[in-house]
Amino acid sequence: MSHLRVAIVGVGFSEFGILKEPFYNISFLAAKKAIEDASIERGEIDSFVLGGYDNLGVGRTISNMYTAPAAGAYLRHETRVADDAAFALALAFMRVKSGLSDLCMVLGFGKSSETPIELVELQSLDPFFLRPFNLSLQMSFAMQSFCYRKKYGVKEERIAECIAKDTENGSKNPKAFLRSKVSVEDVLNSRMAIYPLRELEIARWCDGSVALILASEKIAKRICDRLVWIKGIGWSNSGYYFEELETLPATKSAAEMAFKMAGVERKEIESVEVMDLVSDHQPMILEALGFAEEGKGIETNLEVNRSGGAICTNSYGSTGLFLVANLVERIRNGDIDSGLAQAMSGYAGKRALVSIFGV
Amino acid sequence: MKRVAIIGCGQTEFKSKHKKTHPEIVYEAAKKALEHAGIDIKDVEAVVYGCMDPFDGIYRPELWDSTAVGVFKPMMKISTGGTTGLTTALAAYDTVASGLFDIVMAVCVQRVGECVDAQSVLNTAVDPIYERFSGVGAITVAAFQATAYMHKYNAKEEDLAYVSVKDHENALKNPYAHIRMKVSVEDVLKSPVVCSPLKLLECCPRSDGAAVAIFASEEVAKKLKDNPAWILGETTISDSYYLGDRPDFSCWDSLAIAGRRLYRAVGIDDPMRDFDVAELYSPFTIQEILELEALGFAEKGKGKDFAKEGITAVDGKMPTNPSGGVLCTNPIGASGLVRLIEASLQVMGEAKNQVENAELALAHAWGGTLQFHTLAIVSSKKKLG
Repeated sequence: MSHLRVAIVGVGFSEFGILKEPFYNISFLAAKKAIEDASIERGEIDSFVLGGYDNLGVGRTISNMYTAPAAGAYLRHETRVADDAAFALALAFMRVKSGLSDLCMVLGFGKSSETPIELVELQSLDPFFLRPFNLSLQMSFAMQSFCYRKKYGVKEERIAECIAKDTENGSKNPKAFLRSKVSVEDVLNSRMAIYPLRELEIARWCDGSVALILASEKIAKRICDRLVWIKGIGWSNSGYYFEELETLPATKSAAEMAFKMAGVERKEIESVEVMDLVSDHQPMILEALGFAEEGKGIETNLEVNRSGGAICTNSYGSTGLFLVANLVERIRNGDIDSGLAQAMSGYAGKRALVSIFGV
Repeated sequence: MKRVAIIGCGQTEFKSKHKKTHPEIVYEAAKKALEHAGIDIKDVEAVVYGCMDPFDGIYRPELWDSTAVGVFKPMMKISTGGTTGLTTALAAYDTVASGLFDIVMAVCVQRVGECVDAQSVLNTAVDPIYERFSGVGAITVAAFQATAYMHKYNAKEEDLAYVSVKDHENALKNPYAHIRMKVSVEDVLKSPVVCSPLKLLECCPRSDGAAVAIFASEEVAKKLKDNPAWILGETTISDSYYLGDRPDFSCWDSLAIAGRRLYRAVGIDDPMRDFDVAELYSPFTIQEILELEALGFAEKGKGKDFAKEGITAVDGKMPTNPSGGVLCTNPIGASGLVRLIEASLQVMGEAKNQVENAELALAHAWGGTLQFHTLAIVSSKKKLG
């Protein structure tokens, strides 16, 4: 493998919420902040990798037609990964690592308030066997929760603690969408939404954009004092049909790739950000990442989701990159020296990406 | 940076309505590419997937199609409009060039036949307040280009028709091509007007099908293939969003900028002399003319004469689209990859409509409402010259 190292030298966030602004403006704001944060000029960036959904996911097709100029990609090398924007981080990482780019922007955008996402995601199911069930994305997560709780005998009181912990953290994160603390009792008293998930256990969708500037080692050292290195990155997909619902095989496979590349042990990771789209995802993801045995994810003492996680900020299309950006800021601020971020997409989290960062 | 080559190519037949499902089409193309490369699916370490979902009636078809090629493999989805096929290839190139993987498969699939009207889908890409009401789509913007060009350079409808005659002639030799029929200049001029001045035989069909290319690192490529297509360079460019912001439709300045950037990086001094063949993304006749001029093959205003004078014929000085091009086959999100595959087969010496002694080839795709361009150069040699 190439020995070129890749660092993150700039981070920019838009506001996250149900936003009235067109997502051009939202993306522009995040991109501008990232460029200012890196203390560079737009013209210095040679490649742009955008990440976000298309047509139905944001209300217009070829969505990067709209967001590429907002990112500052006018007359520059630009492409788009059509998935959660965390996957765009992988492509940008490879572009810099290969030596094809010195400074590369990753811009993630989400504007799910434009569209009925349940209906949109339903179109990703094949028209013959799965679509006729009218299964929403959250229903597939509820099936996972049911299987997980049943197989490992995990009580809903324990699972509710994940929500209490996430919202406690989210209340302290000014970038988070939901910033109200929720107690275990609040969760247990909330309306049953999709059995066994209660209303407060399901992440609410919002809009928002986040941008990162990646740099090759030579350039990064010139422009940034405390560099955050991308130590390892891995991504995978675990098929299509619903099986093994109590585990997250794609996350497991992505983690194996990322840890192998990073050459670090689990115990060296100080903090993790996980895309817990529902409460049970948090322990399930921690298990798939190898931080806990199966069924024991709830018992880990690891620092999880200091950003508030996806439970507090779920901008469909940029959630994963939001978690990455929060983690990177903490490493850069010196709060921690290493961290891991996980993202996933699709029904039952069948596609996943894991990235490991350090100084 | 690692050197990268294409070692296997596969295409399905392209037609109006495939009777197979999405994953079945992908499987067919992937199987052919694996056989061409002489490897097994187990050898493929990562997959890059491209599709323009809105045409196909399936959202995120990569999930379904992963059952054909990518279960438990790192798989990434790219979607950038008409350039999707070539940006997918570029992502596969980046994936190998980074050193993360040695064998990566680029998979592109499209079923435009599933959608009632491709133009109304494209119309959702433009601004809902200022541009959408005009009904703008790919054909209309191409008609702007044709009108502007014909006015500026006094080009005749016959000049454009010769491009169609040449592409259709070439498609007859390509077993994968969608439209395979011989047409004359008179046939083109007599065909119904779709969007003035463009006529039916100057516009692409809506095609279903899949294309797959396998990318390998130098070490692997040397072991597996005697005649790989080496990738010498690539680039993309993104223009302004609003059509009204483009200064002049009679030329394609963003493509000219991208072309010069690529030529400088690779060391191309004189494209007309250096390239043996080009696969250009021209779903409408006028666009090949503009592309020839923007990419430095023709002087401004002279591109219109190339097809008429036989310069772009397979045995001409600068053959373009010996496959029949996008004019005869357009599975939109896969068309860019088909360009690269056809360019690669030319330098491998395995094209169905082979240009004699082709060593250096250019592949191009455009997307959006004339907003994006993607380019790649492939060669039978590892380095230029």
